[in-house]
Amino acid sequence: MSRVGTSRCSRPGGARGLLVLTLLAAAGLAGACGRSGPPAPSSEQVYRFRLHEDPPTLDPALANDEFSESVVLNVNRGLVVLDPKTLEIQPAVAESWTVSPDGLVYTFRLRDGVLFHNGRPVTARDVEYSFERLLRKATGSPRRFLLAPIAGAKEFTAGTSASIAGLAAPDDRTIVLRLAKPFAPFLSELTMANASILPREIYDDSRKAYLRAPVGCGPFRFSRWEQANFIELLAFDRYYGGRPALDRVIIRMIENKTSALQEYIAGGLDSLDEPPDDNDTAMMAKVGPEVHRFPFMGTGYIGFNLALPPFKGNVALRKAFNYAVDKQYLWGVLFPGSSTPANGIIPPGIPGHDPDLPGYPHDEAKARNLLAQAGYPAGNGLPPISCWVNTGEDNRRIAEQVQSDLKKIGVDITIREVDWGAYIAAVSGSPEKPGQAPMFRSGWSLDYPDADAILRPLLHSSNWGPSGNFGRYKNAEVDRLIDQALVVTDPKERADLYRRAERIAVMDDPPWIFLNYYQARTLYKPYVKGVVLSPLGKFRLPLDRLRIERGST
Amino acid sequence: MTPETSPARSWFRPRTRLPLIIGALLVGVFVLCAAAAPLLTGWLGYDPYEQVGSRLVTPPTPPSRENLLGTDALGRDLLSRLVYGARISLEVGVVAEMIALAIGTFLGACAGYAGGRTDAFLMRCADLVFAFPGPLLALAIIAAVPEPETAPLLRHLPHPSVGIVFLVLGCLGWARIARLVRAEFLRLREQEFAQAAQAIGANGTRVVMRHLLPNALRPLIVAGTLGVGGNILMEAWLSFLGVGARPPLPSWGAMVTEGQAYFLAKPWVCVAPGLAILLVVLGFNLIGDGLSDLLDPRRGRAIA
Repeated sequence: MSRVGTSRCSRPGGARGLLVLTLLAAAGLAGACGRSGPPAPSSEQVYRFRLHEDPPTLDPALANDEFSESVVLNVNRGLVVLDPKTLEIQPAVAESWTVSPDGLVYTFRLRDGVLFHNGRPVTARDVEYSFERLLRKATGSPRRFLLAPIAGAKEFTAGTSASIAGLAAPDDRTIVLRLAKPFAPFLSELTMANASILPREIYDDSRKAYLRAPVGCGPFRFSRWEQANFIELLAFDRYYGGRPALDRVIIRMIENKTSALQEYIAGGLDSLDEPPDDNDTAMMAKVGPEVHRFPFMGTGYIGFNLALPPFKGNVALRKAFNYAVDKQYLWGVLFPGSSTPANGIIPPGIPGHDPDLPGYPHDEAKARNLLAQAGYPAGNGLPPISCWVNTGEDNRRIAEQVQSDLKKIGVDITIREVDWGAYIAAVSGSPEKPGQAPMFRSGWSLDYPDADAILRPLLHSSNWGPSGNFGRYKNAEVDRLIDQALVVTDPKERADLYRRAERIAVMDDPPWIFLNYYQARTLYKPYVKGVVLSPLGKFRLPLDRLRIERGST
Repeated sequence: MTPETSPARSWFRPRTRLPLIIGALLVGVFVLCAAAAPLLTGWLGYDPYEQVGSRLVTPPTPPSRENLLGTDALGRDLLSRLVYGARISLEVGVVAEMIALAIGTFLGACAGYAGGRTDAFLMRCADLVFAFPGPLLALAIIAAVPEPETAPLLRHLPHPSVGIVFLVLGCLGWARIARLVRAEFLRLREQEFAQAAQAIGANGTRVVMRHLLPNALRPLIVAGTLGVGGNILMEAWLSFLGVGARPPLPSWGAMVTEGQAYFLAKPWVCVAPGLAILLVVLGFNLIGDGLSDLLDPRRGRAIA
């Protein structure tokens, strides 16, 4: 599985998220053979993991993919941090915070004794500087939108204001953020790598030395980077959370999947993001018990174009298609291990996920009845329907399986397999004009663990077109619930609102065939302890809880 | 008809005969498969579109007593798909060649008989077709018709996505035939029997249809046979790239693409259709070569 985290955030109306791109196999044979990693004395606690290639950047403001984040999240820290297991927001550089009852003013109290790796204490001025830097146009951050809810952020970015109206540091240990309007996922956004706190003296550097040698206040300090070979991080002794157990982290760049697996088996890696296929019995016999499976925040589906017949306004037809597809077979047998069958939209692990949602279990008889109710008994009278997929072996197989399932209730669909550019043009259309594809296979992975990060871009009617709502779904009640959940601050109440919105969108007015919740598979050597299998995925993980416990030493 | 020599004698020459027989056998097997596909698959007990594998085992499954060639990536019986695939391959190969023969013979006859400006113009057109890299041109044209299922004309065909392939291959294949027919006509029209026919007042159509064309048939048959093999190969190539027959049609080329992903672990998924392509194209080429040896009077004498 190649990189999933290449974000595509195009966002009028607050949509954000990233499309799960086709998981293209990385070509090329630049393997690890004949290339030696750095030496690893055995008394040391060393943890080695693999990236496919060099991270595009180590500048927190520019990080927009999982590879960069895998480093930044360990070198840098923000005001708050996500617990990778529970996805709860926990104190980091800020030791506590309060939110005003109207949900507009966030007051953070900074922890005492947080040091940058250069030894200087972190102050509220650094927070101010870091946030200004992220928002400044000259920085060129692709994730500027994370701080956009702050009052005056737009004016500051546009250059019409010299300071951010809603950002204040009344003293060295207090930072006050005032939002233009309530925005419940705001704290979640502050957990992202881009909102890290940076030392001005390092990052105000015209030679941009920080691009090659970043400095932060996280548990690991940057040591060195050998391009296309490895990045080395060392434990930061004076980390505010206590020195991490690992002495060194080696991040090795190995592009080829097979070479990486060989390296893992030979003992040159302690974890690997690409286990062999479940069907590869020879390999699985060797490493099978070391494969860990866990859900990560993403959902796959086949969308309907709701602006065009036959799906426009025909709920029974959409339900019939949902019942016709055997999700259990797809993800249990055809693609074992890569996903779990989806009963809805919000993936497991995200507040608001509803395990009791009935969804659409495979039921051919029901599908036939609904098809007749929809006005197309046994598929008679349906116009030609094509299902668009972007080029890829797995995409084609999914589409062919769906085609074969639909055929059983009498529905004929054709499959259009085209490259990404043609696909996205035909599927997404524009905010004004619907796309031409009647059906399309797509997926979405969440930028941060909040149901808003999937429901709003994909189902809110303000995000028709490339923002994410490709099929032009519009349901007034769903819109209202999504909007309401943004201004409510109580997490339980918010989760409940999302659950209600999802139930309407799934059971009453389905916009898609609900296919799968993505699963991650990762290899960990048995001596690696403290492993967290996180819905954040395989890369966006803090490593300060890991430790190495070899039986003999 | 005025035979120039009797080919009968060379028929008994083993050197000529053997490739022809092998080719005929190979092609015969596939023609039989194609013609009797429903019977054959009925006898095997499988539908080429139906998922027959156990719903508990991840396909492709290896060859077994139930599925003689195993199942494909979606758990469909590979052998019955292969048998139905013969229909698509032969359909494309033969129909495309008939289109090419019809257009090519007509234009080649015009050029060769009329000569002069007509000849020059038609042959420059043929040059133009030759100048394009054929496979790429075919790819471009087929890609320009994204929805053959709704296209006029094509949508009446049983498999519109196959129809576009044979139409395009046929329309690109005419130049080869036209050149051949023209060359034959240039030679034949100077011969005495043609001159005599003109001298007794036969009109152009009659001269062409009664005297020239029958004498040009031999090279045409050879070229046509070889062309069928070429078309089958081209269809496989286009399907391999994903622009030919659309799923779930069992096109051999598409089946090879599908099997690629399992090439090392489960080779039968792509080896079986690959072999089928190899054998049927080999068959047509052998027939073509054999016929050319058999029918070509000069070569016949040289051997003797």
